[in-house]
This record gives sequence, C-alpha cells and structure tokens, in this order.
Amino acid sequence: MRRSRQETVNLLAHTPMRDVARGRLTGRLDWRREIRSAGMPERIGALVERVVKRTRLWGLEKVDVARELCAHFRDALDSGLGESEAIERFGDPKTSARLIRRAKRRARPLAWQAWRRICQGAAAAIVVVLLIYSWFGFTYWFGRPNPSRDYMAELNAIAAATPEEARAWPIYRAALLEIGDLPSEVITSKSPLGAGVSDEAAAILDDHRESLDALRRAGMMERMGYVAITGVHADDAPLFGERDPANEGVGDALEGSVFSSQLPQLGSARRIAFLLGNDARLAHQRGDAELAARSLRAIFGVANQVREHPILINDLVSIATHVYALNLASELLHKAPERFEVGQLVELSHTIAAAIPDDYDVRLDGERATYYDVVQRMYTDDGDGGGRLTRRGLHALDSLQGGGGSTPEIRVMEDILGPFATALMSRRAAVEEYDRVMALFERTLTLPLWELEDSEEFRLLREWTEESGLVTLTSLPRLLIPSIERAGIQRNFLLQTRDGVLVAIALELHRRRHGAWPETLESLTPALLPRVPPDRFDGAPIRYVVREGEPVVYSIGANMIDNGGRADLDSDGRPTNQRTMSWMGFTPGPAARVPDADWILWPPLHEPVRYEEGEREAPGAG
Amino acid sequence: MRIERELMRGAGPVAVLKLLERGEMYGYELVEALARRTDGVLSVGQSTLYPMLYNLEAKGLVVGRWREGDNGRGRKYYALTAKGKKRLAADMEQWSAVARAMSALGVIAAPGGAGSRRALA
Repeated sequence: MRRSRQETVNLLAHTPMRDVARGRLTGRLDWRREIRSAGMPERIGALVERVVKRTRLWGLEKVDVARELCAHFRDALDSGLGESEAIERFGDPKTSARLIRRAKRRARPLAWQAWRRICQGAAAAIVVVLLIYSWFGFTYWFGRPNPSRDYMAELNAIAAATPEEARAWPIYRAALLEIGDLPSEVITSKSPLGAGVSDEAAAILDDHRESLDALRRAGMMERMGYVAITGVHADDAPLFGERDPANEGVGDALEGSVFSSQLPQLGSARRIAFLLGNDARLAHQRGDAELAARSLRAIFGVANQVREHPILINDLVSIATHVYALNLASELLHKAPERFEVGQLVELSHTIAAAIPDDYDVRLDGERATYYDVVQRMYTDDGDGGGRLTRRGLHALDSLQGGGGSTPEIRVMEDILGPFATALMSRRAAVEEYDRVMALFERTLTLPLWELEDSEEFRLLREWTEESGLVTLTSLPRLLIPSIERAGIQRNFLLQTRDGVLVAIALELHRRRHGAWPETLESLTPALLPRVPPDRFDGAPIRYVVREGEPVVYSIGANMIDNGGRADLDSDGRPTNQRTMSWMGFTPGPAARVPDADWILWPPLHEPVRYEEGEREAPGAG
Repeated sequence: MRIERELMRGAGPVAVLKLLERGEMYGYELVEALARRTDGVLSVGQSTLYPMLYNLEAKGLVVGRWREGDNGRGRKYYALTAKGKKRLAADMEQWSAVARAMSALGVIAAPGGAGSRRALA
C-alpha cells in the first residue's frame, strides 16, 4: 500500500542513519509504534508511553524499554491481574523513568561515559568561572575608588607655601609675554658652541633689555612658586593658551590627579635659560663680563627653581639646564678668560658649587606620588592596603595608555572583560611590585658608574624589563614607571661636567696667580679646589695633562681606558663629547657604541671664536 | 513487612542473581518469584525491578536476550553471566558471614530452628 507523505516523513524520522544510508526506511526507532502494536488497554499504553517518554533515552533504548514494559504488562494481565491493579503494582512512573534512565545510561559505551564526564567537568568549570566572574564583576561594576590623599597638594607644598611677593613665576610670565615669539637663534641653544651672537640677534635682545633684566632678577629668587594644576591657571592662559585636559587624553577618573597635572613652566624655564644664555654670550662678546656672570648665575638659579616639585621630569629639566649653563660658562671662560675678573670667577665657582652640590639627587617622590594617586583612583580600598580594580579604574588605565577616546564598542568589551582584569590586577600586587622596582631604581641612582652595570640592582631591573607574557599585560607598574634608568647616569654626567668647569676655573685662577699651569691638580687644593674631583667612571682622580701649552682635563670615559686625553671624533672629524651619555646602555637593545677615546671635560671642544680688534661693544659702554 | 530501603538496596540484586542461578527468567517472572519465595519480604516495586536488571546488565552480571516466550509473544529473558556467578558466590559468602554474626548476637535465630536463639551476653 502506498504510504502517505506524512507516513513517509514519520518513518524517516524514526529510522537510524545507518539504515537510511543503506536505503532502508525501517522506522526502528518508533517506540510509540511498539506500544501501539502491543495491543494493551489504553490506560496501560498511556502509562508505558509516559514512562518511556520521561526516560529521555536514545531511540533504540526507548524501543527496548517500551517493548519490555509492554511485555511486563502483558504478563501481568495474563496472570489474572486487572488493569488497575497492574498499574497500581507497577508503581510511580516518574521514579521508574528516572531509575530506568540512570541504569540505561550506565550501559552506554565507554566513550560516551568519558564524554559525559568531560561535559560535566566543563559545566562545573563554567559554573565556577561564572561564580568567580560574578564575584569580581560585582566589585568591578559597583566598586568605587575612594581617594583619600591629596598627592597633588603634597607635591605643590613648597610652591604653594611661597609668599606671592617671593615668587619668581609672575615676573617670568610678564617678561616672557613682553618678549613674545623670537627667532629660534635667540631662544634656543641651537647656536653651535663657540658661535657668537649675530648682529640681528643682538638687536633683538637689546630691544627687550628690560625684560631680560627682569628675568635675571627673578632667576636670583629662591622659589619659582608655580602651583601645578590640571590645565593652566587663568593668568597663564595668555602665555600657554587654553589647555583642555579632555583633549589631552585625561579621562574623568584621573581628573585632578597628579598624572593629569600640567607643568608648562618647565618649557618656559628652558626658554628663559636660552634667552639669558644668549644674552650672556652677547655681554661677554661686548666685554661686559659682569653681566655675563650675572646671567650665568641666574640660569643656575632657574635650574634650581624648577626643582620645587620633587618630580623626575623637573629634576631632569634642572639637570639639562645646569648642563647648559655649565657648558656656556666653559665656553665663555675658554673664549676670553681675561674678560672675567678674579672676583667674578670665584663668585661663579661658588655659585656652581652651591647650585650643584655633591649630594645633588634625582628624586622619585613625585613618581611615587603620581603612581599612588593613580592607584587610589583606580582601585577600591579595603583599608589594609588591598582593593580591586574598578570600572572607573579600567577606564583610567585606558587614558594612561592614550586611549582616552575609546569607542562605545571598546567600552562594551571593557565592561565584559573588566571582571577578569579585576581578578588579575589587585591593588596590593600593583603597589608591591611598584615599590620593589622603584627601590631598585632608587639604589641605582646613587651607585657610582663603575659599579652600576655589575650591580645586583642593574641585573634585577634588566630581568624585569625583559619579562614578557601575561604577567606584563596585567602589570600596572610597567605602564607607569617612566624611563628612570638613565636618570642616575645623567646625574653623574651633571656632576662630572660641573667638576670640569670648577677645575677649569681653578686652573685659570692658578695661572693668573703663578703665571703657569700647575703640574698636578693636587696643587690646586685646598686653596682653589676643595679636593680633586673623582672620575665618575672609575673613582680615581680625574685626569690632567698639559698639551702644547694648554691644560686638558678629562675622564677615561665608558671604555674605561686612559687614552691620554684624546677626544672621540665622528666621521667628519668633529668631537662627539656631548654624546657621552649614549655610551651607557641600560635597557636591552642594540649595543651602544663605546668610543675608544676619553671624555674631555676641559677645554670645551669647539673651534674657539677669537674676538677681532675693534669688535663692537655693548651700547652705553665706555 | 516493609524492609528498609538501604537493606533492600543490598539484598535486592543478590536475590535476583540467586533466582537467575537456576536459569534464565523474564521480568514479570522475577517479580512474582521474589514475592512468592520470600513471602513478600523482598518484593521489589515493579517499577524498580527493571532499573535493577538494567544496572546488573550494565555491570555485566546478567545478559538480556529477546526471544519468543511460550505465549508466542516476545519477552526479554535474563541470564547470569560468568561474572554474575562469581559475584553471586561472593555475595552469598558475605551474606552468610553477616547472618552468622547476627545470629551470634542473637539478632536472628541460629540455623536449626526456634529455641536456638542466644541472648546477648
């Protein structure tokens, strides 16, 4: 008999795949057909169907159970039991189905059993992960940082405590506004060492004589008195322009933090130094050594003023400004030493020694404050040094990495994955790792150069910077610790450069007194020099020779070999002395070139500019 | 008498294995035999017999085979396997030991009839 379409579909649905593959529509899986064909009373048939359906077993298993239960009830009825009694004696269908299911599954193949265990394990793991995710998620989504310490106020303490009338900054601001924009020749240090001030530059400087005098006076004040804030002060807007923190990638979470603070006065300090430096050159050129010396003293003053915030960048700008002033002093002294009177040289020497003492330090207080401030704005606080990363904190992290303009899609991903970050990035771990690494950096800042590369601290820091993997992705310190490693080297560079200038001044004073250069540097002590300064590369006294009637003061340099005061020259034959610091390779990377030469501290390595007869003097002189 | 479920859990499978020792039997036959030969003490619910048989089958202690019964209809007959026989022997030994211990305590009458019960010392 021809089957209907419905019957065919039903048959197909109840035929095992291997039978279909063989082209046979057996319908072997139709357990209901088994029940129907058993010819039992309706109630019993319904009971069997209920039980079999509840087992939720595989097709063939259901067929087996259906057949067996049908056989059971047939036997019961055949034994004389009534329909109701047979049903009653059978028991609870739910219990029966549950027990049958459990028992039948035990008989399934080993591979199925193993797969079931794996699925159960995976499900359990997922549940555990979800529970953990929910727990961390609660902290992440609902936790709130509670910043309790005003680190910005602490860093601003010195500046804020300076009385208004004792602050150099307002004077600087007014002078810089009056001076305005000038050609780069005048306001940068781009003039080659030894080059004189051109007539054009001289005219520009003369036009702003009053403001330059104001800069000099302000440079002699003790404090700059610049209070750092997020953005710029209204009074400073004409000088710096309006600055919107939002435009600089600072998100809400870091608003008002040390990290978001602006230090535009540092750029101004450099500009002031170059202005005064070029004015010092001009004054020296015109024979006004007193004005040149005052300008130099003012530049050293500016360099010290920027240290009113104990922040690394301030100290680095201070160092750079000091080095600029030292190089300038060296240049002027070498050009025409006779233009400086003895008193001026002695005063300059004292100024340099006072501005750059032997214990001149590079401070990390500001870095610590910045970091702890960021941490307190990113994490909850359990009152015991611990806490969890919050949603707000993750957004702050985004700002720190320059992602202040995240798209909504990225924010959604952050919200989903944020709880994992909360689990991986604890406050305590973030602070402990930071403290450990910063302690290492701090120790390297005070190590002599000859001990630095072989030190345990150096080795540990190199290991830390070379780490990779997940541990680095979840490390907040790695994002926020700046490039400190060269700060100690720059400090040594500053001190050695200072030593060179102080020795040069002492040599000049000795020559004037005795008519000749000393045979040794020891001869200068203690009258003209407290002691012979050490060579920062090996700790021995710095080296001194007289060559062709001129003194040469030098350090053995990074190759640690005394090359007899021979300077390193580039391919054009120019001295490369000023690139001394690049010799020290701290961070992994291509090996820095170590010249096979010495670091010449005196004389400054440039063609000296000899003043011609009748060179123009300063206006009003004579 | 209604037997505690925990006791039945241990006794039921042993009883079924023992019944099958003599020869294969089908489900309903086993239900009837358990009730009849133990005076109803070891009657298992009919809905729980089949799960018990499937468990024994999964453990390899019995094997089920469909064949035509004497009434002309198909039935699934269960028979002991060699493994089932070994298990039965072991279980019988354990039950005997338990019975002896309980008898020594006077919990059950010693083999040999009434009057041979011993009171606890």
